[in-house]
Formats: sequence, C-alpha cells, structure tokens
Amino acid sequence: MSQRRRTLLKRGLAAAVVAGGAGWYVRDDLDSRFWLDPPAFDPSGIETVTDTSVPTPPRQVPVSPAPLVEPFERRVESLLGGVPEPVPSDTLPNGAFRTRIAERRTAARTALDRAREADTTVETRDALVAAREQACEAATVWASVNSRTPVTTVVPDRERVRTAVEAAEAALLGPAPSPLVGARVYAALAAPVETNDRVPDADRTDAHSPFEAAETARGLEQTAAHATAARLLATRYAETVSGEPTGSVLAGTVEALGDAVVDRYRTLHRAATGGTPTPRSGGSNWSLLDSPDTDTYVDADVPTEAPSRQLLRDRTWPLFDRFRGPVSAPFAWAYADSDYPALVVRQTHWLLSWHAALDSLRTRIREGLRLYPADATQVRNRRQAAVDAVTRLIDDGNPLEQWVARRLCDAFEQPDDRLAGVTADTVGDDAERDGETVSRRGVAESYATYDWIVTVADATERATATVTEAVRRARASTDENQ
Amino acid sequence: MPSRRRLLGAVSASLACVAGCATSDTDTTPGGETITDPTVVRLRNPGGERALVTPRDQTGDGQLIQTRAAADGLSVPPGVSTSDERALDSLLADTAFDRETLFVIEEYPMSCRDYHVQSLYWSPGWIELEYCRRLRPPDVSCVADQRDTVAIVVRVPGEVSRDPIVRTGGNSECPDREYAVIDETPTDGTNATSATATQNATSATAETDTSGGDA
Repeated sequence: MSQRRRTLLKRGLAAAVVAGGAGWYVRDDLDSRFWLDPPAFDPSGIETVTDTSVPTPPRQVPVSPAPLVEPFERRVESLLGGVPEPVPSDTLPNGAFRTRIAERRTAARTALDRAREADTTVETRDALVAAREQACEAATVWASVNSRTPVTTVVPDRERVRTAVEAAEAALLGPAPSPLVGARVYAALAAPVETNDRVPDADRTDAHSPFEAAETARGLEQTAAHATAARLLATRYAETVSGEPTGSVLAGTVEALGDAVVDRYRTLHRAATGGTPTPRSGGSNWSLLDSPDTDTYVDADVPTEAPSRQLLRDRTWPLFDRFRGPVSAPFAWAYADSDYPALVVRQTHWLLSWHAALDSLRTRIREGLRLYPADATQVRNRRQAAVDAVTRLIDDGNPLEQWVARRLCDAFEQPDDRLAGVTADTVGDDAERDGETVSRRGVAESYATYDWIVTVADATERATATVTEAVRRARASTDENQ
Repeated sequence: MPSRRRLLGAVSASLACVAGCATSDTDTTPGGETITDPTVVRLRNPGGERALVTPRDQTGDGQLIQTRAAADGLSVPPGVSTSDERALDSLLADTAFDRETLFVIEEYPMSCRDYHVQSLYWSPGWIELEYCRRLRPPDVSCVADQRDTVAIVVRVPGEVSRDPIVRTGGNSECPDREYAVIDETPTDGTNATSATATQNATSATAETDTSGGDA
C-alpha cells in the first residue's frame, strides 16, 4: 500500500470516528434535552389512577388438576424416600452435598405445598413439576455419592422420557368444541412440553461431578413430568368435551398461516427501510428475521426519546429476539412442521396481533403521537380504556382473543406497580422508589404501556380474522381429502 | 463414628500429588516449557486466613522458594492438617534447589472445592498456572458456603528469575468422569439395618408405580 493511500485511509477512518462520535453526541444531547425539560404534567388525582381492577381472564385449562396430584406426589415421595433425612454429617461429611440435598428436599416439599394451595390447573401443574424436579435433584446427588443407591434407580430413563413426550404429542391433538378452543386449551398444555422436549443424549450426561449429574437428571425429570402432565390433562379434557380431533385442522391452519407471517415481516421491513432484505442462499425468507434499524421507521417530528418512539423500539426488538425467536415462538412459517400445532396457531395469532399493533403505533407516530400525558386524568382515562379493551376481548368469547387478554392483563403489572402509592406530591424527577415516588418519565412510560395494551387489543381483531380464514381453508382442504 | 471406606478406584480430588507420585508430561515450547499435571502440594487451612507463611510473606501474588534456607523459613500456621504439612516436608526434602524452584501461591476456594493445577507454563521470567475446579470427595469434612485458604506449592524444574510475571487462570470444572463415593453401610448393626431397609423400601415401591405416571 502506498504511503499516500495509507494516509487517505487514516483520514477516512478518523473522519468516520468523528462523525460517529458527533452523531452519538447530538442524539444523546437531544434525548437529554427532552427529559431534562419535559412538557408540563399536572399530577392532581394521580392517587386514583390504578383504582379500577384489572379483569380476570378465563382459565386456560378448563379441567381439574386431579389426575396429576396422586402420581406426582407419589413420585416425589418415592425419590425423597431413598434419601436419609437428614443426611448425617458422619455419613456424608462433605457439607456441600448435604446442603444441596437438604435445600432441594425442602424446595420439593415447598412446591408440593404450593400445588395444594394453587388456584388454577396450570399453577398446580407447574408446582407439581417443580416438586418432581427438586426431589430428583436431591435423590441424584445422594445416589451419586453413595455406593448403595444405583443412580439408575433415580435418574429417569431416556427412552422412557422420549416415550412420554411422544405420548403427550399425540394427546395434544385431541378433540375440542372448535379448532380455536382446541388451540387455546392444548396450547396451554403444550407450551412447557415444547420448551423442554429435548432429551439429551447419554454422552451429554457423562457428568463431571455429582452436581452436574443431578442437574442433568433434573432436566430429564422436568421433561418427563411436563410431558406426563400434558398427556394426563389432555386426556381428561378430551373426556369432558364433544367435538372432532383438532390435530389435522390445526396443522393445516399452521400451513395456511405461513404466508401471512412472511407478509407481515415484509411489511415491517418495507416500513423500516423502504425495501426487504436480500434473501439468503436458497431463496429462503430467513433474512426477514434480521432486525432493521427501528429509528428509521418513522419520519416524523417526534423526538427520538419521546415515549411513543421508545415504545416503538421496545416493542419491535422482541420480534427479532435471537434466543427464542419472535415474540411468540413457535410460530407459523418458521415452525411449519411443529409437533404442537395448537401452540403454533395460538402463538401465531399473538405474533400477528403484535405486528398489527406496531403498524397502528407507527401510523400514529407519523401523525405526531408523543404519548406524553398532560395530566393524571389523561393517564387514568388511558388505563381505563385499557381495562375496557381487555374486558371486551374476554367478553367477546373468541378463545384466542381471550388468551391475548390474559397476556395483556399481565402487562398491567409493571406500570401499576410504578404508580401504586404515588401521590401528587411525590411525582418528580428524583430517583424512583416503588410505591412512593415516580418520575415524570415514569408516568409517561406507564401511560405508554396502557396505550400499548389498548393498541394490541384493538389490533387483535385483524389477527383473529387472518387465523379464522386459515382455519376455514384448512377445514376445506381436510374435507376435500376425505 | 460409623465406619466408612473409600472405594478403591474412585478419584480422590483432594489428594495432592507429592514428589515422585506421578510423572509429569512436559512440552517444551520456544521460550518456555509447559508441564501437564506438575508436581504440586496443597495445604488447606479451613476457614483460616493463611495456609503457608513464607519468609517474604507475600504469597498473595505468588512467591519463589529458590534455596534450602528459604525453604527452611517456611512456616505452617495453625489449622493446616498434619498430613498436608507432611506432604510439604516431603516435597521440600525431595527438591534439588540447585536446579529446581518452588512456586507458592495462596488461593481461596470454597471449603468443599479444590483447585487442581492442570498445567504449569514457565520460563525464566514467567510462571503461569492453569487451574480447574472440582468438588472434594464426599467423605471429606467441609462446610458449604465457607471459604478456605489453600497454599499451592508447585515444583518448577529449573531456575526462575527473582520477580517473574505470574498468571493464574481457569475456572472450569475438571474433566473427571468418576468421583469418589461413600459406602453408607455402617458397622453398627442398627444403622446398617436402617440403611438396608431404606433400599428395600425403595425397591418395594418401585414395584407399584413410582414413575409419576410417565410410563
């Protein structure tokens, strides 16, 4: 490389660094200015903003957890029964092992208590599964460090676990009064199985220590327990309802929804960049899952740190989360061959609702939306609108919309906690203390979250129409093939 | 105290490899030498602040013992076991200070964990220890959530400059595939019966269904 070219290159790099630095500086300055001197806010009446109760959504799984209770408790007691209680220090001098065993045993018993006190089937199931996991870990640590308890008597057999998962998958294709009801109920049962259905190979469990062995065993126990819970509850549900098996219709629905999801991502990229990403090799659409720069979404005279634009950023990135896929994996298109079609349909509906809500938010920002409330009354009204919107979803009776309502009910928690206990005198710009003070920025972000709840609830209808049409096409296709 | 026996063939993580108990693998690299599984003695002081006091008393950053006189100046504080002290004595006696050096450094592992020195890289101006972690065997008395002080004494097969650059690292689990187990059968008849009964009870319930309904 010539000396002159090196010099030019250096100058170019320096200019880029300066430009980049200046860019950050200018933007940071703009953001700071916005929150250093935000628009006026009248906090009168902020004490009563959260007075209206958040509605209670219907239960996800409309059957009793009774089929799980006895076998799961028996399993827990069987695992713990093989472990001395307490483990004497002269039998097992190593305190780390004794402590781990004692902690896991206590956690198992606590989880059993939690299961007995739980209000819903899902809560009972989760507590019973946790009890089995903890008991298995305690039993495996003990089996790993003493010569008389074969580890194989406590660690679940891999083949047996695989069989349990397969049995669950079959049961989760069962009957329901309608495909959408089936999607909601079986999805709730399938979700933890889908997350935990990977059974590690034997060489992965060639542990380096009793603790590693126990953690692996715990994972296997968790997989087995969730699969068994899904099968038992799905079987009980199938006994209580009349209707056709939902598996093939929902699988067809997943197939029919794939194009709609691809189309949503194309739309989102076009909104962000004016085009769509170049397809990767083989012409796949996976490049659509590469996140665009959300700050280019809107060309509006709205500060980048205005609550509305912050909301847009916050709600866009989960669609491109590398760890668990968009908002709601598994979803149609990417998980077209999933073993859990009910779950894919439910999650795709959620994903489409989210996309539609982002469309709406983007449009409103272009029209100048800042989402900065002028007073506490405006916050109260927006929260009330959110409560009304969620109530409407519940009352309308669409099974998937009811599940969206459940998710939206959870979304009240953070802003409500932030505003609870705050008075007009404790709204300011000091550091926030939960239940005591809130900053004006905190008020604005809570307001934005209530607005998002309304936006998603309103957008859900569009997603429901798409899914309903996909079900219709799947049914027609099934009828043709029969 | 019920009897326990360590099962032969199991790996005992806490046994320090004293002089002559193992053959180290060496790999001479330009400017230095890497020794896999070097000769090491560890002195543990459970819950104590020091495990070995050196003449310069600066073991926190590592210190060299290069002469017999310096070795004679080492002192073992109260709390360190006599077996650890004997292992140190043996290492000192077998070290030829005219061509070998001892390197001492203190570490602070949890009471039920050990640092194992996987390798030593050294050159006249450089000492680098690569550790891995392992749980101590079940029959070793130790306390969860307590830190001990462990002096690690490594034999370096050559001369090292007075103030070498020292590096230590490695926090992964040792790649062991077996670990020690206890035989829970006590000599005392009552407890032995109890232990056996527990086993039988487990077997008996296994004949009903203890799978949690997984099958």
